[in-house]
Amino acid sequence: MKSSEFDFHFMLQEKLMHGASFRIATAGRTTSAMLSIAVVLTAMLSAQTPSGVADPAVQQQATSHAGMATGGVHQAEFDKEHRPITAGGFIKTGPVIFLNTAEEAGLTTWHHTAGTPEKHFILEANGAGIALLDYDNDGWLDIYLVNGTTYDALDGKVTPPHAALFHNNHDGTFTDVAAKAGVTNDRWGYGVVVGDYDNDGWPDLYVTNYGKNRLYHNNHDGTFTDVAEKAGIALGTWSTGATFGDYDGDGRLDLFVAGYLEYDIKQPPLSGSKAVHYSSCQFRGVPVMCGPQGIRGELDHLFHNNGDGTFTDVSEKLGVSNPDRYYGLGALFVDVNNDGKPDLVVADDSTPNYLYINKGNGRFEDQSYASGFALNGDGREMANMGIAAGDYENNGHMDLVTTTFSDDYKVVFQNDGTGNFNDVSYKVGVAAPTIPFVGFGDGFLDFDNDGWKDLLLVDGHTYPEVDKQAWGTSYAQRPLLFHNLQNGKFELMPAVEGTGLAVVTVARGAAFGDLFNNGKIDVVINSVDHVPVLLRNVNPDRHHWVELKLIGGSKSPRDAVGATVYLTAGGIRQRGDVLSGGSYLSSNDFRVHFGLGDVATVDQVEIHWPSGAVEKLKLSAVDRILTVEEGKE
Amino acid sequence: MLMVVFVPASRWLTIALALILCCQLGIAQDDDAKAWFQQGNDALRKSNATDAVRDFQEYVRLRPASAEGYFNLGLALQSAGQLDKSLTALRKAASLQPGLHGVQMFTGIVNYKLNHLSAAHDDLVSETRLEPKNADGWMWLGVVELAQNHAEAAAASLDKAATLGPNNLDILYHRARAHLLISKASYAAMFKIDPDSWRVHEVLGQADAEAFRTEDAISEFRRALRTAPHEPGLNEELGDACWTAGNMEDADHAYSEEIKIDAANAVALYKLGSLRVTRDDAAGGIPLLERALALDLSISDAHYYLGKGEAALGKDDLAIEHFRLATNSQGTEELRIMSWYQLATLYRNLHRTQEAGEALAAFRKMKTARDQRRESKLQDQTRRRDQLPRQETIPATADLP
Repeated sequence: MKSSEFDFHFMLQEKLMHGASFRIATAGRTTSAMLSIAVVLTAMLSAQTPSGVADPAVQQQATSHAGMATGGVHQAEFDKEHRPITAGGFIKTGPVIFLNTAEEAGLTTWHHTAGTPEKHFILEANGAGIALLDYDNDGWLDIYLVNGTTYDALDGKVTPPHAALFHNNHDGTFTDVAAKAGVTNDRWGYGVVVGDYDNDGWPDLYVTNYGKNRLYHNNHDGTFTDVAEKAGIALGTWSTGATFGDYDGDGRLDLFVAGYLEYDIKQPPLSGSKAVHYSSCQFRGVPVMCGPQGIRGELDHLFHNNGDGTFTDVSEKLGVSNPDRYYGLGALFVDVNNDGKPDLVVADDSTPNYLYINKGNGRFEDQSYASGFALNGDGREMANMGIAAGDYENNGHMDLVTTTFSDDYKVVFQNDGTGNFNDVSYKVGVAAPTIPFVGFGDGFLDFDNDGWKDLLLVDGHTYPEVDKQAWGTSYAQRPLLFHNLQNGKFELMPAVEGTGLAVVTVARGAAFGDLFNNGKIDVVINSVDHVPVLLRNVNPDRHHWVELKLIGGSKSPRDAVGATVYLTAGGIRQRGDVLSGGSYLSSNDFRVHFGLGDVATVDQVEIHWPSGAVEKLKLSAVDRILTVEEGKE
Repeated sequence: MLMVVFVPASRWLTIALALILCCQLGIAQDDDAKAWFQQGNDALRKSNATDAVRDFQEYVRLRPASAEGYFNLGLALQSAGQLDKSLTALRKAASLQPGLHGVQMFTGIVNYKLNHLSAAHDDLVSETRLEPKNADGWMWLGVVELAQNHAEAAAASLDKAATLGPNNLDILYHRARAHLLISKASYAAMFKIDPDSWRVHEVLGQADAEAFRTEDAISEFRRALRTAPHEPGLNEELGDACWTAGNMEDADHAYSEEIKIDAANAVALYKLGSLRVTRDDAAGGIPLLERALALDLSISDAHYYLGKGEAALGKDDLAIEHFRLATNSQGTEELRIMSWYQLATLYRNLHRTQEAGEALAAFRKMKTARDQRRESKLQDQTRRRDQLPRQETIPATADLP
């Protein structure tokens, strides 16, 4: 802008009309002088210190509270090629940890679909989860991928997109047998969780949908039957994250299902419609799809397993129904205070998280705020999506990590051992690099088998519109792998071009497990409108490992969900749990994996079974998968 | 020229005056005249200008020497839109009784409405001399001066009006406008004298910053600094814009430069200190915050960041002390809320359970109140929006399986 060509008077007028005001500097001090009605309103909304100056930190956050964003505006980050750091920042050479082998594995015959590519509505943007399970009990993990659908498919005009059940062929490849197995779902799918709810030794699947959910009972012959209605857990609202856990210790898996939004597909939330506040349909001032803020949340549900194929909704009775209508996403039964009883954590989008402590006798106590888990370290709600649970310090305490939105850091909640949590995100080195990313699926994994749990987050934005802005973020994003430095901190592993960490997709669900039975933890990712990503672990370490497949006894769930294993080797006592659910709407390998570093023997394994029994074992060998049955050494 | 609608406040003033004049008719009148006068007042009260005109005309026919009668007739004619006749009646009233309360003001208003600005100005100046404590008189004088493009004179008159009537929305509106025009003229003069002066760039930067055009603001402040690198305040403004844009390194640098120029700038010290604490440099931030407080105790928000800093250094007792101070009523609401949360966290980690519970309760109470206010505001916005006509397009939908 050349001053000589510039009409100062009109420029000022234009700036005034756009809500400008003028601060008059006098000898280094600043005061506010209101010069237009718009300015008066702006100033009334701004945070002011007593000296009359806006506090920039608080002002930064004042731009939030729209759509999914809860943080303030952060600096745009670009790499040397001026790509947003979320889809760039690659290096040419470096450690090759993962390779995307989805195509070789045969997974790319399947494609996730949800609504339209433009993502006009939140229903289309949240993506779906993934489960790793050995559905045919052949000792090899299979993959279940949840699919969305389209409006035309719901209308019956076209064949709906199907979910996929990829059978592991034991040779590095997989075959989709969903149709044959009867698990195509053919609804607007979101989450999936694995659990042997009837203790028959065969894993079952619970699939959450917008609409009625599915309980796929495993028929033991490669097929499943949907018994959700009969079981009383079909619901019919918008369900998201689910988790199985035996909360009352009766040996049978109960089920918790998080609810997201009250959403009427016939009257979707359009900007300007009655369904939503108009301010919830913008991000950084740019119009985007509406919600979740401004839309009423759904209730959560806890179903008690009656042992006869049916469940009873005990949500209200036990105080876990979510009467505040927070937007539930990731959910997980996990023992956070080491009392042997599974507690319940729920990652809520743009609202406080839930932590319900299991008090025994079928009671829960809401300790969300008191524990420090509800909010981040600043006392602020975040857009929480996925939950990772793991003992990253090898101190026996179950820590939690939630993924959040862009312009916000991903939160590492360090457990003090009593079920109280401190936000140590910056302290451990996870916060800063994660700010530009929108995180979804996450999990702890010991990718290099050194005995210390590392952390992987998968990412992808919700607004395609960000690709048109220079905000340093992108719609499709790369995953982030944080290596545990064994001193309470993590370091971000570089994304080497051509490797799995440089794969850029709109990632959502992520499930972790040893797909190739080689002791290395792989990751499968379900991305929006995309083929799956299979991050095969090819890390060149030669560290030892062991995996334990647990089978519960008569008083524990048969698949041992809720069991905690402590393994001592090389002076380190590691903890692993059998957990159903977690990550983002996903379910991981139930086998408990331990990296052993260079140590070739295990000093001791101590298993805390859900029944309350504690068993101590010696392992005969390492670098193998061992099956341990409760009460039978 | 600024046209002003005869606002309801003035109408009520008219009625009030008419009533007062009614009461001032202390001398004995015959019944007919009295009845016309009363009838005219009733008609004015009911906003029936036509009848009021007729009634007062009858009254002055019977009482041709009544200043009050001509005054009320003038008001009625004004209400009926017969401005010339209104002016005549009011002037008659003034000639019969020059000191009649309100006659100068209403003559001025009618002259203004007739675009006789000079005459209106003279009338209203007389009014303010006769009734120096009449806020409306000063307001109208200011309005006329605005119409005459005498912004500075108008600002003086309206400032006076605002002193007398601080809660009068009309006065506040016109006063703001007058000052705005002065500002605009001043900025235009600035530009004319030197379009590339640092002052011009500074003002543009401020406007950009307020309109959240942060990158433009940064650019303007940098331009200003190129010309006036040692001018106090500029680096601070640049720092603010950089922080808002998330450029923390640049913000740090800018604030540091500001402090070099003006070591007693408590606000800049506070901002740099809080920035450093936020960026995990407690050791770097704490001394700055302490200096800021030493210079200006009113920056109580500094205690929040001192608390954060001390907590980061493991000095929990000091941290608690600072967070407690930050929760006092002087600070920003947001930081007071966050201070309670920090206290709850600290007490919890120190196993001071009761205090943790109390702090958490205080946090939740304040947070809930703030969230409810925000929700209420959103609902108001939605209600206002819903009152507007609009067109919705709903895509094709389907039933769920």
